[in-house]
Amino acid sequence: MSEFFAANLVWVLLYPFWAFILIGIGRFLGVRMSKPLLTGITLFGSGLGLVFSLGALVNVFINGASEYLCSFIKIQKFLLQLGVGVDLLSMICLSLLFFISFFIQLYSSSYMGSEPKYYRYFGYMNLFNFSMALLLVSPNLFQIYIGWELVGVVSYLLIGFKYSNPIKSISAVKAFIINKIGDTMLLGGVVSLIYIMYAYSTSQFVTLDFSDFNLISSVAYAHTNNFTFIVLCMLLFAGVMTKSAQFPFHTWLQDAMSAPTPVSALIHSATMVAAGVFLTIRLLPLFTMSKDMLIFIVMLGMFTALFCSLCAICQKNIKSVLAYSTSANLGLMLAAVGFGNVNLAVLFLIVHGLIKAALFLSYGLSNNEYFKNNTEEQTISPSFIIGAFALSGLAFAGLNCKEQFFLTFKPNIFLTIEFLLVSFMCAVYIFRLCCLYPLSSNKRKNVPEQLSVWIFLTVVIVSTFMVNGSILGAPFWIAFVGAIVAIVLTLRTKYTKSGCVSIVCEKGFYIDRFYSRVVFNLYERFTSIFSRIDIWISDNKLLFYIARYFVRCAEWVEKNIFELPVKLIVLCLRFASKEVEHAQIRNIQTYITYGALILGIIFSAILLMYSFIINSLGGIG
Amino acid sequence: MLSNIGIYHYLILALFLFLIGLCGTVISKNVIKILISIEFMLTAVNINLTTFGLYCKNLAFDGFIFALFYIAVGAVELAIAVYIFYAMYRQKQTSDIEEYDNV
Repeated sequence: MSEFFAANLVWVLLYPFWAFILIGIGRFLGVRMSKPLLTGITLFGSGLGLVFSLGALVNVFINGASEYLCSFIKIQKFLLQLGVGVDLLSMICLSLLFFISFFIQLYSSSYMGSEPKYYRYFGYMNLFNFSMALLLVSPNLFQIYIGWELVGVVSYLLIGFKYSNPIKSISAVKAFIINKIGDTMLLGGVVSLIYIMYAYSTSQFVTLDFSDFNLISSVAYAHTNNFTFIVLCMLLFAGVMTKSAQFPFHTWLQDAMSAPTPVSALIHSATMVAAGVFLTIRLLPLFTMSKDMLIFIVMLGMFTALFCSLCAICQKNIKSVLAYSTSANLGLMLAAVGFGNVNLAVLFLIVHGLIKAALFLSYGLSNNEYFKNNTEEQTISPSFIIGAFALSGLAFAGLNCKEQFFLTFKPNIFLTIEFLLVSFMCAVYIFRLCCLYPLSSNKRKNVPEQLSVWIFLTVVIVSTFMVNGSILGAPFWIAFVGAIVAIVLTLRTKYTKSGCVSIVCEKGFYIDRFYSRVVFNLYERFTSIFSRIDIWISDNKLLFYIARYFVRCAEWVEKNIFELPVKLIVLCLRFASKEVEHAQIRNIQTYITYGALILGIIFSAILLMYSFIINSLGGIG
Repeated sequence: MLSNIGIYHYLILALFLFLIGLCGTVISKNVIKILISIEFMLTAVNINLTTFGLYCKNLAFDGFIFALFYIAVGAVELAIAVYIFYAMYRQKQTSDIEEYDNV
């Protein structure tokens, strides 16, 4: 029974793509689908995906991992296969994706109710489901790259969903460009890996299947020197850094918050940004070869966590706090992967995804951009506070995860201190929000929205009791202290929406400004050098005269030689047409002339052929 | 000298006569001249018929009978043509063929 789910998963994963095509082409042909129909199509896809991925997950436990492939490209011995690789990691991530996307789509059906481009939103949602699933189930690195690019495109489309607003469309372009940098580096890494495989190994490794990635990593490590190997790993990891919004590239995630709130919940906190962690786990055999690389991953993750938590403390906007918090938590996940604790990373990926989705959705409950008059005033709903408890690690599933992190990092005192600092700041920024903004008094009837939020929270709360060993250890107490500090500070010192903590933190240490001023300026200088070379070449008199001479020669040849036959044909045709024109003036004598000419020609032809005809008939008599 | 005249002389005479008739039909503007030219062409055809009737033994008298028949047809045709042209002339008040463009 469970094999049925695994074997037919591919059709279920293709469904959202066809739904996207259907919605897109239907709209193009002017077919207006009703909102319930659109929602139904989308929800059916996600629900089916959830059922089938859970079934396939059960199948993994019973029968082990399996692959369902079809050949995509075949060039001599190189056979690239696309398909569905059913294994534990991919099925867990896929179930999470479909679970979150199902309820967020349910939420959107109410949240985006008054959106005129409703059909487009749901089309993009389907495309996102498809491309993310393509990424998650990929059996080789090629398919991951395809999905990687596709989710980037969907992210761009959804951030700039209200493209009439210039700020939002600029944020979309920014997110796309920064993601594109990482994508290009990832492509470079993939190509270099293929090159190494071509040069030093058999043809079955060339397609970079994950099933023999251990051997691929060994080959790659054995045939490159240390520096080249680090460069190769860094190229692959740069893709992770951009997609997961790690330190130098984290700036796009804050701007991505201009997307509609359900999109922020789905793409920019729960699923798409987690793709980076997913890829790191997939590529772990390669990264494990070099100790420096692992240290780099851990350091980068922890530094991002610290840095982004610091920035999150003094944000004015709830959504940017959540965005910085997402970067920070993804940094923690990467650190866990780099430390070798993959289980913890996956666990935190799921828990963080659920908590963040719940937080974003409950923010959307009270701050619906379609129903609010004053966008400056933000409020929070009760479910937000429960989410805050979970995120800070004071209660529920978050507590378990933080405890596990503490146990993992325990051997290294430096990391332990850093982690405790991060969880302290996490509690500070999230409880600051709870005290800073008033509780909403929401009278709107939004049953699907409430339902989705509470389902996520229920899962978070229930999963607390399914993980063993939840002790009130150091992370709990540090978070507790953080919460107390935040509450006291906020309530006591009139900790207003700006000020108090340095403005440097609020601006994210001016990383963004650095990019827009310094890096952009450098880029402009760089291009101006080329433009000068260009100008020097085009202003060169000698080159100009030589070029002009050749052009003139060519012109002469063209006019006097190549055009001659054409002109001749034109003249002949014009003459003939003038002559034929006479045949049509109503003059009897002309008709007679032409009749005589034509008959004469026909009879002469017959006469000339006379002997030929007679001979062919066998002679006279 | 006269005994040297054979079938080809007759045929070439008929050809030239036919061509003169054709040219006259095409070139001349006056309808009467055109009728005369058509008669030239008819005569050329008749010469051809009698020549073949004279020189081809197996044709017997067929050529001559055809020629006689064709002369009769030509006379009738001429009568009809003259009447048509007369009718046209009454309508157009001119004997120029170029004006007769709505036959």
